[in-house]
Amino acid sequence: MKKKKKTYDGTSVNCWLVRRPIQRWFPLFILPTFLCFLIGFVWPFLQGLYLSFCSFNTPTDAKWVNFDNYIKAFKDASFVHAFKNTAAFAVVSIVVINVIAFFIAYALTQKMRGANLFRTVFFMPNLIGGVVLGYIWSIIFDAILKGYSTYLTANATYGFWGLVILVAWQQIGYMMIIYIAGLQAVPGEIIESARIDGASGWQTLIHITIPNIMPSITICTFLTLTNSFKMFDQNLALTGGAPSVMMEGAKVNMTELLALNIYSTYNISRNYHGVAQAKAVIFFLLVAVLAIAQLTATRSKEVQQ
Amino acid sequence: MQRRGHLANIPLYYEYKDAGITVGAQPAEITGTYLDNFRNIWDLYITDTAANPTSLSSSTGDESEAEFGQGKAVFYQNGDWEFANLTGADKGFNLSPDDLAMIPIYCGVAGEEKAGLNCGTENCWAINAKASEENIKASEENIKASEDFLYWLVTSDEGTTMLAEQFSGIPFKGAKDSTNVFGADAAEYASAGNYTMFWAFNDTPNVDSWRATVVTALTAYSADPTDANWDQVKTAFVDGWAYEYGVVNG
Repeated sequence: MKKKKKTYDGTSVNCWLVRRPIQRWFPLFILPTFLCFLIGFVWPFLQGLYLSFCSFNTPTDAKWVNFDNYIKAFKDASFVHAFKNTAAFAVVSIVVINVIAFFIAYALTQKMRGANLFRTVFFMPNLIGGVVLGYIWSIIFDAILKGYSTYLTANATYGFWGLVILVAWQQIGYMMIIYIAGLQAVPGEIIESARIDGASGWQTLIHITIPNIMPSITICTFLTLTNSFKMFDQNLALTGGAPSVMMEGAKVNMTELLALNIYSTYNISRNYHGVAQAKAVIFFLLVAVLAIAQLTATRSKEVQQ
Repeated sequence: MQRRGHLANIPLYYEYKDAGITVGAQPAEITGTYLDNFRNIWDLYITDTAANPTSLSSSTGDESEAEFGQGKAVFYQNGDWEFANLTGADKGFNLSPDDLAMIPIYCGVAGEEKAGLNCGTENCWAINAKASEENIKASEENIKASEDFLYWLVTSDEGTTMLAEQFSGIPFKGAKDSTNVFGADAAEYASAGNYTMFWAFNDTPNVDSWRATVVTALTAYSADPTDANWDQVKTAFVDGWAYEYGVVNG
């Protein structure tokens, strides 16, 4: 990059008259937010890390127990089950949400009447909170299943697919917006030249459109992946983990995902507060790895373009 | 959900009685000896219910109260505190006390013709040992004041009258006669030499969690009453107890 010539007229941001006060005083302006970050994030995080090695009832009354909590967490059948649930849920919801969102976006970027209205309508479920959605859908599912003499929490399968439908309904609109932005950025000339070369609509889609919106696909895939791993409110409100059954001498909530499992572990009894905390740390590491993978992947795509 | 869970006191009571366990001496494991009897009474509950067994998962206590209050149902499981609701005008039931009676829950246990009613309560006072000196002292004073109040409630003329009118008969000397027929029924069974089914349910380890598992299994059984589903109830009942005992004490 060519080095900019220094100007001293006081109108440029690069001018030292502007730069020096900023350099000198920026800590003052950062301070309020930084303090909030320390109090609301860093301190609880460190305390949580410490408490995951403790047996405690209240945070002020903690006793150091080394790795006991982590051992209990990994031995816990319900944690393993919740992990499997989460993985399965992530795979299914990534596919369902992205495929449907892409095709809705594709349809809505074609010339059609009322496309804007449809976009708004499809986006709207995203504006409703997860707990509200969960209760609404549990009523809907129970009303439907009642006709078949059964109910939502009768078995794990209903709960699982119920959650997939709920989350798809909520997130498709959001992913659709990202896909629409991507589709609109595909240069018209390429599409036009493809058409002149005699490519069919399907060929244009596979060989021109999709490669050109790879960045959107990457973003949406990772968003749905992290969303599925962090899923909590919808899970809590829809089934709350029910049904709970005894499996090989341990209690397992069949429709519980990881975040809800941490929450319910904390509420098992006072002996399990530390175990829940240990699970939360494991959960943090898992989500952190996913987030870093997401960053790396999106960055490498940006380089390609 | 609570009522369904509370019925579990019957098999628990008989098991406690056989083993000579008193409430408070919570065993680490139970055998579920009387679960077949529990199934008998549960089948009676779900086969002749006013609601469709398959819809029981979403039925509420208010619904069964209304069915009983409006004369659609003949039996209704509840306690003597329900008397005011049933005879009063608040909910529009207005039942006559003469038409009401409380009977023991029979489920095919030998000798149960001498059964009385389920009686028990589940409250206690506690002081946090780790509280500050000052708070402990204040708590002790509060408990002392509460004891004085309770003493007044069961001995003074005003207190016993209030209890008899608003609550039920109470097992104290000098208690006033109550119009609550349920309390009178309990006293009658007791004085006739019938055994009172004490509240063994109090000993349930991690009660909410244990009950949730048992009720889940019971709900599945109600929708589809097969032997396999009843085995799930047994597992939830017996294995669930051992598991929750470990959770609380381990």
